Amino acid sequence: MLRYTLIRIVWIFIMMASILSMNFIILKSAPVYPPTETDERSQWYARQVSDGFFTERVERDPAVIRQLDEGTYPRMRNGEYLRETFRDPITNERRTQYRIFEPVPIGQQYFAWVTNIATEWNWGTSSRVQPNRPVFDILAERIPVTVRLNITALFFYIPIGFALGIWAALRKDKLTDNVISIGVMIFISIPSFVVMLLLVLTFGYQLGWLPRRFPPAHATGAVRFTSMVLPVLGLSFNSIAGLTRLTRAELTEVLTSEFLLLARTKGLNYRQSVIRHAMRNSMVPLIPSIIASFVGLLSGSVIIERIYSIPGTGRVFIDAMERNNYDYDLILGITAFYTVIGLFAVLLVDLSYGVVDPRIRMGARK
Amino acid sequence: MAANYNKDELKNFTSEDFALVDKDEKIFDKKFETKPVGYFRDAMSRFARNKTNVIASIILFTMIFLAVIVPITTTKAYTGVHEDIRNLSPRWPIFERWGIMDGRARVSEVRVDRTTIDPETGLGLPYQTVPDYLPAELRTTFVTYRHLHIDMDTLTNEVVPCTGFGTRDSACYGGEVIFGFQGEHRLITVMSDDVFTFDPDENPFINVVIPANSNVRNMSVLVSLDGGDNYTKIDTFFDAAGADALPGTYQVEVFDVMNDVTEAFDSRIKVEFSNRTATIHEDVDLQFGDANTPVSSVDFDTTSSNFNTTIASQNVAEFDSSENSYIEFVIDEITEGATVAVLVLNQYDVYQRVGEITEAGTHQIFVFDSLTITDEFNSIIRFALLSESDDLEITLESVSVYHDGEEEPHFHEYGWALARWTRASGEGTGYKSRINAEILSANFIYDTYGAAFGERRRTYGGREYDRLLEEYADRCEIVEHPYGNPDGWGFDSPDPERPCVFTRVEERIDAGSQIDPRTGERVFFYNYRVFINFGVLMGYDTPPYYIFGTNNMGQDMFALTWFGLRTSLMLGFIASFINITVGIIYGSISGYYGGKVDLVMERFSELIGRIPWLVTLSIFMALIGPGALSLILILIVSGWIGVAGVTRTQFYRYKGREYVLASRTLGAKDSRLIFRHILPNGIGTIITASILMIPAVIFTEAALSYLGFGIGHGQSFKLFGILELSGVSIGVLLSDGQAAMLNRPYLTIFPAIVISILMITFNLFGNALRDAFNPSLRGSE
Repeated sequence: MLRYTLIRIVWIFIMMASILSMNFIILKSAPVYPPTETDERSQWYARQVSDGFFTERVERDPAVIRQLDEGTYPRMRNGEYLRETFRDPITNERRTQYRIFEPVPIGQQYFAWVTNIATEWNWGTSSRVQPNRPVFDILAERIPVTVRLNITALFFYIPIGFALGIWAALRKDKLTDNVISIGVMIFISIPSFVVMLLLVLTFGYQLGWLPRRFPPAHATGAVRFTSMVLPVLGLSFNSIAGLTRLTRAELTEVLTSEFLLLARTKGLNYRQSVIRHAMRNSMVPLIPSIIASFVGLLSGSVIIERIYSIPGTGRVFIDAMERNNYDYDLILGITAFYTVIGLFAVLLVDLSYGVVDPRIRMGARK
Repeated sequence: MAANYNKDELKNFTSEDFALVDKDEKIFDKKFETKPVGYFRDAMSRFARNKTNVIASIILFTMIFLAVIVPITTTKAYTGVHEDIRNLSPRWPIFERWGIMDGRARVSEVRVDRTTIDPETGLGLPYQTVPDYLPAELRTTFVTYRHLHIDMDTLTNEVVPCTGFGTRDSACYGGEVIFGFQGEHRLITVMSDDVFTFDPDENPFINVVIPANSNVRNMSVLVSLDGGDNYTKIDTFFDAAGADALPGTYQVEVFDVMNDVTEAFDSRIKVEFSNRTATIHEDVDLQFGDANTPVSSVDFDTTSSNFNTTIASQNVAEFDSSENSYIEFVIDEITEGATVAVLVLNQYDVYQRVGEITEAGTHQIFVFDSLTITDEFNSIIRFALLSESDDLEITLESVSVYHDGEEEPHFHEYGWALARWTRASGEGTGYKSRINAEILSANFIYDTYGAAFGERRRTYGGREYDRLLEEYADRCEIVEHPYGNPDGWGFDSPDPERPCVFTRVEERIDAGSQIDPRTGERVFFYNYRVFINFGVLMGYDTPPYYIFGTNNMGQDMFALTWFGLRTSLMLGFIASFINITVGIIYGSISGYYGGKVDLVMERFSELIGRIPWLVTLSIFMALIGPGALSLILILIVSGWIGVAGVTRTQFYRYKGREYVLASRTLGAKDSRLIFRHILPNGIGTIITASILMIPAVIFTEAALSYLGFGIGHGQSFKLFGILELSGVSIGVLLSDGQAAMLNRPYLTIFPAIVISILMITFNLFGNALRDAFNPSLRGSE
């Protein structure tokens, strides 16, 4: 078990490192989109230099300088000339100079990126969404919103999913079961963003019972609560259907097993046998699936956040991905967040199988 | 059986009682009485047994059929722009009699044209034409309503929150404005408290002493030539060597640097320090000197050396010392620790601080307490936001100027006027948002078909009028002077089913005359003010039925939805086909060879499968950009993994079978074993298990296109040179519909229903197919 755990952890780290590295290298090789305003742009480049992604030098070649003065010099693919007028403190002369920012080779950039994260927890600087703001600051502002929403959805859907699944299993092939199964089939099929769109359309716009969009951060009281209703519902429907179906399948299987018959023969009544034996056993495979569902919930919330204008990580990801307005450092930060959570959930799922059900011995030789 | 006999009876049986039946008959060549049931027939019979699945499959195939047929056969336009039939509501043939789906739209929260407010009822109507004050980006999407087709009984007015573009819309009133600021102290401004006189005769200079332990990298000296807040950089010191420090004493001889300035001026001294990469906290010495006062140390504003921005009104307020004017700031909220400094222009043409506010509430600032002016003056009002912190925000309700003792302010800015206050100076990133603004809006029921196909007033030239009359000659009979209008005439049609193109002519207008050069006769020209039957002009004797309505470009949503579904389906099929092919090949190799190959390939597919879709998405967006190509690549990058897994299992199941062994013994190559022996046996399972990939792919496509990362309007793609894909898919339609959820919900509802039904039936169909072909998997999900 220990060996297996270690192998899994190492493997997860290898996966994480390769996914993030690949993402970094590909994104950083694409054309850069520095901030649009001159001041912000020069600040951003300076920041890139200090982070080790760009080099800065002063153009000395008179031919190039003349071309630059005339504006005939071709645009650089991934670098930029910034014009600056200054006064030399030593010779006291007024001069115009061009500072050139050029990206260092991608390997060095990668090394700098890893070093920055490892030593300073510096995830880079936003270029377009909130120019020159450290990426981690933006994330630190957004992550709580997303996580709060998803945790709420989790606590909302688990009891409902369980209850419906148990109810359906106990009334198997009766009307209740059929109705629940039809509902499950419908909600598992309809994409969650379509459900969300219809919910917002109905309760937000047509009936006007709930807010149409997520209120700004300073909203308080009832609005804060009511604004959570629609996104939580939109996130939950799919998960409820999935959990209901799984619970029902597991419980039905356990209910027909022999040990339950034995329990009844021993003299337990139906209720006791179901609660003490059937449920406990059917819950075992559900726990890993709930951990896994959290990841699904989290990545599904990207589109829900967009529909409901929720200022979370998903929303800022969409902003950072706006066409020809890419904010690579921010994208890297957000994808790192999702990758890390996703992979650790995988690890947790793998390990939890062994923990919750001692019969499963992970990594046992075949 | 034995239980049916009692023991005594059993004892009575003897061996003679037992005889072999059909002992002499040879039965081994006898034909089956029933026909043998083949694999597919068997599967079909299992499939047909479940009625729900059959119904679902019928619905599914009907939808696929419609997606193919409707865009080809429809007579209604679903591409291009058709101004006249924009935003029609759904209208259904029979349902309209019951008052639903009758082409009438319930319109709410439409802004009221204030000039139309009826003094009796107090009710206003919406705009008939796009109002001029709207910012350009809103003009194209603004929807106008013809007053004639509004059901006046249902008209109500209400005041609703002004959302979305509150700061940019002058029609919104009230509310508060938030001015916010965020950033870091990478740029520090130091400004002298005093105003200095710079006289060219005295050759003044400014000294800036930066201490040795500073991390300043860039320093600029600024003065204001016009005396206002319009500072110009007169000199910049920049550390070209790239070291992160610029300590020392820097002297700027003002008129030496600005050699084109020859007159004296008054200004404060302003110095900006920046580092660009690090937060700086500067401690400098600022000195001013000239021939008379060689060097005098300047007191500079310590507060403004921190984060600082100035926001200025657009309008000028009047102040009068004899009236003791005061400025009233009504502040709802202010970041703790922040200070609002109020500034007005003094007699030296410099903005002078007249008061400071540190907390929310109503504050009266008597400007003449701190000014030395003794008469009237006019000034723009400014306020500066000062704070030690990186983020500050002020929620301002109104700013007014009163003369002391007066009830009514003579300068009162709130709402829209306040939202137009802009940043006059400052650094860092700022934002401004207007909250709680309101707008008067109208709700009513609107006859969209009447507006589109009903009567419209037009003016035609004589030639065009004659041409139309000739074209519709068989259905237009002139009726003299209807409605008692002596200047006009009406039209009637012999067949009420086929009405005339004109309903009546209101007036014939003389448009001059000319002598025809050929005949020498005088020809008279007329213009006609007519009411036309717009539907007839467009070729409809009775208004057509748009059962899903039309969108804001006048495209028929019914055809468009099926057209979009066709694109979605095609993308789904293409991507699934590629996924299944790749998956089968990958899974075959991995499953057939097993061992180390399998291990490595399994790890690889796990790695690919674990990449979050956001990572995949960002990579393809950065490399290729949105469009069909990157959409398909995203769909296939990890889609094949499931198929590969199923294939691998099948290979593990069959590769050890005797017939494979036999073939191998006979010298069959690996490829023959894979493609001729193992794969054909497993392919049914693989395909049926993969059929559910199609709805999954369609779902992903819809989600990505909805987010704007997939395809979009106006695009069209050729795939493999033959398949032409349009830029419209269900996801695109849903994305379009979101802009008009309130007044045109059908734009969202119909595509949503179509994709939902498609998903449900596809899942049912896929499950049923799998159950039918692999009965052993029945019930597992």
